[in-house]
Amino acid sequence: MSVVKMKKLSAIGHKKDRRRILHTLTGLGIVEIANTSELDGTFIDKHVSVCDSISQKIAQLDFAFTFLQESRRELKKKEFSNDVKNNVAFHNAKFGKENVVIKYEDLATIVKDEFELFSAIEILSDISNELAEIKSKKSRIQSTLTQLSIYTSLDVKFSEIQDTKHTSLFVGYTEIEDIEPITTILPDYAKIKYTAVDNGFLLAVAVFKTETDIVARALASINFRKCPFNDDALASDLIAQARSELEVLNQRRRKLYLAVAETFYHLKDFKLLYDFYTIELDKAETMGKCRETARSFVFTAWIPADSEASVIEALSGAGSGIVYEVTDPQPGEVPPSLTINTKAVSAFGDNITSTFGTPEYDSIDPNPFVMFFYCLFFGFMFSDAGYGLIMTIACALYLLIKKPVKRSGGFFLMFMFCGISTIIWGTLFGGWFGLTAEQLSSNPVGKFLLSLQVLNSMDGTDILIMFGIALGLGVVQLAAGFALNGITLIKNKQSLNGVLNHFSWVIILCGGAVAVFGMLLSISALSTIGGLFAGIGVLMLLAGGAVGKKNPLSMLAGAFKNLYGSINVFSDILSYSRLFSLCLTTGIIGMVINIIAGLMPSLLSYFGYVVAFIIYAFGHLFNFAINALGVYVHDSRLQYVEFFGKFFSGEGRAFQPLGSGSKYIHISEGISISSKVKN
Amino acid sequence: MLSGTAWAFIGAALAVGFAGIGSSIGVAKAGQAAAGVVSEDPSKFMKCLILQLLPATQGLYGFVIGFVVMLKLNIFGGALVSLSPFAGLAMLGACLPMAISGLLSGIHQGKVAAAGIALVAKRPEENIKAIVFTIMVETYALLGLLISFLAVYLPAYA
Repeated sequence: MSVVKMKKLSAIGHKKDRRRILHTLTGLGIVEIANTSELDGTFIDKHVSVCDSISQKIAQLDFAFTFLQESRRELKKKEFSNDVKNNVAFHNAKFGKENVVIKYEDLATIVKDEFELFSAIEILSDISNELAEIKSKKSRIQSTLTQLSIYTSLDVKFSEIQDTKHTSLFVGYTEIEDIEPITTILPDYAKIKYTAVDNGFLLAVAVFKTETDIVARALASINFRKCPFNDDALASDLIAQARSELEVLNQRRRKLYLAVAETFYHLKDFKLLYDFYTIELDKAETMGKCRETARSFVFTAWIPADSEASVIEALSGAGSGIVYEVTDPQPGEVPPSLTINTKAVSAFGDNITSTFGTPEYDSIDPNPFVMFFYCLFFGFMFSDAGYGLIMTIACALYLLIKKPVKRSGGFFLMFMFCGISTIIWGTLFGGWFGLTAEQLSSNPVGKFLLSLQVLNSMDGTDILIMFGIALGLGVVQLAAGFALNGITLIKNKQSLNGVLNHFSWVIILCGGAVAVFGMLLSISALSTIGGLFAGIGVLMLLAGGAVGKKNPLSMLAGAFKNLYGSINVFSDILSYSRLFSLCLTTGIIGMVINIIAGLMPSLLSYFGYVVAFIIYAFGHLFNFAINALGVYVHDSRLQYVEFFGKFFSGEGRAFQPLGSGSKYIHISEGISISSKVKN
Repeated sequence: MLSGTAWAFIGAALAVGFAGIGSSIGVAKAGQAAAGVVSEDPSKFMKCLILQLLPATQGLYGFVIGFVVMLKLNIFGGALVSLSPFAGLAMLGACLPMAISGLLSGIHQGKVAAAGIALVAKRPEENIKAIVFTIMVETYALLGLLISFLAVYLPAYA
């Protein structure tokens, strides 16, 4: 239950073997390359051009994913439904991580198809450019069509709208509600003709050339827009022509999208190639961490101590004349943290602990404790065995049907365990879909479930016991937190600090709990023993504050500081009252839903049964969702603030072996560190 | 002088109403922030929605207290329990921790949720941290709920 021991591997190899060595180390999946310290006569080459060329390839693949995703939205529209209905690759297209595990060696074989794949991406890029061009052409034609639609009632060709020797002709559009006021601002002798069109009027004004300016000013005041066309054609002819151009563009666009649809069968290969190049980039950047001479290179790596022999064996086979040295971490060096746990514990590590931070190297792995307490508290707060049953079955079905590989199903595995805990607590509290004891006892199954109930959340005494259990669970978790910190300190040769400042709290909390228990059950012996232990704990705590100080005043101040710090511990215990509060909320809202649904048949007769069913279904769905969310976040808070605050800083650096950065495919490790899984 | 039962009803109304107001304001503030973020990047919808929902719980806690008052008054059982004015006022007082803490914590939790949504906009991978910041405020609504529940449910008022 502690973070895996690491060893430092330093090696020198021939440059000609470098690619093979890095390829082998990547395939192992358990080697993290570190920065190599300075050595005389060596230099560092960042391999910028290699990194740039790989980054460009990754960018091309990124474009392909984005473009295919956008095209997919378009291709899902009704106009394409017949064309793509038999396209299996299109229908099965997923843009997330694939649920498959492959070996690094197998992934590397994808590179043989890269010419074909990048050619396909080139075509996609051309299609994307042409589609953008079509879009802009279409929008230009649309805007021309809108303008032409104003002039459909004009029965002359645009080229015929011309001034004569003595008259000027104004033909255009004005967006006004009423045309009458215009006639008053134009000179009397102006000849006006108009017709109503969309949101305005098509207006023609003929005046003597001497009056052109006056009329132009008057028309400007009503935002008159002169006809922009001068083609030798009628508006209707131009509209027909524009529409046929649009049709051609639409057909071309359709053809292009259908061509994109045919590219979907490359999607999985794009993903493989993307991950291959992501790892290649990782390798190229790793080369930049190694020191080099003209013909050799030096690298430093972190490897799990247990895997030393396997790594050395693989390394020796990857090149000739490799010289290496394996050492323990030196003082001042900070190795990366790797924890090894079962799949279930890892699920909690991935979803709860990793959000907070990574354990420090050489510290205790908090994940098994997080799993225990998270499940325990989740069940107490969710507290409805019916909901727990649904949660467990839903998560189990997902895991059985989808069979998520590696740790990808951790979220569901975690909630499956939380569901089981909810079933247990819910059964003890008699919580079954918010049904009351009377409702439950009306049938044999309910009677049986009721017989398993230990505490009733509607009974005065039981409520106080439940509240006490909530705080008691808090005391247990806090004591565990203090104990873990104490153990760490003792391991780090700070035994006095660990025992006096941390184990003292374990004794105080346990002694206090026993004393309270004794008082509640009126067993004076228990109260006395508990009180005695708590007293010893307090004395140890006071001593802990005074130890290491020479001045009596500082000793007193230290002891007082420790005592004052106990306020925080008591406020932490009170924080666990949320266990009880959230437990109440689930039960009572469930009960309210049942009462409201139960009233419906008497209010609305037969139709009431339908309404009751809807209220029952959606009400419980709502209660389930809102409370699951509430319990999830409050349970996380208890781990992060109250529990981790006692022993876990989360300031470690996670182990990131070469080849671990894949985005779309799971890659198996070449060497299994243990039968359990890595965090 | 109002009857005790009437005072108790006023208490239930305050718990449900004030906690509801707190939640509505909180959810609204967070919702405005969420809409802004989602307009830029629709893929952040779920993360923003979870943060927006966090200040909604005060309303539910208030509702729970209102319901427990109704249980004590035997609304669902037929004959309404008759309380003395003193007992009624006591029940009203018992409702106040939830009413006050629900109102204020709902509003302030909404502010933190809105700030959390801004955090998600910049660093979506840190959404759990935004959630943790937000639920820190809720602790006080939960304490209010706890005291109101114990004070309403445990004593024999009638």
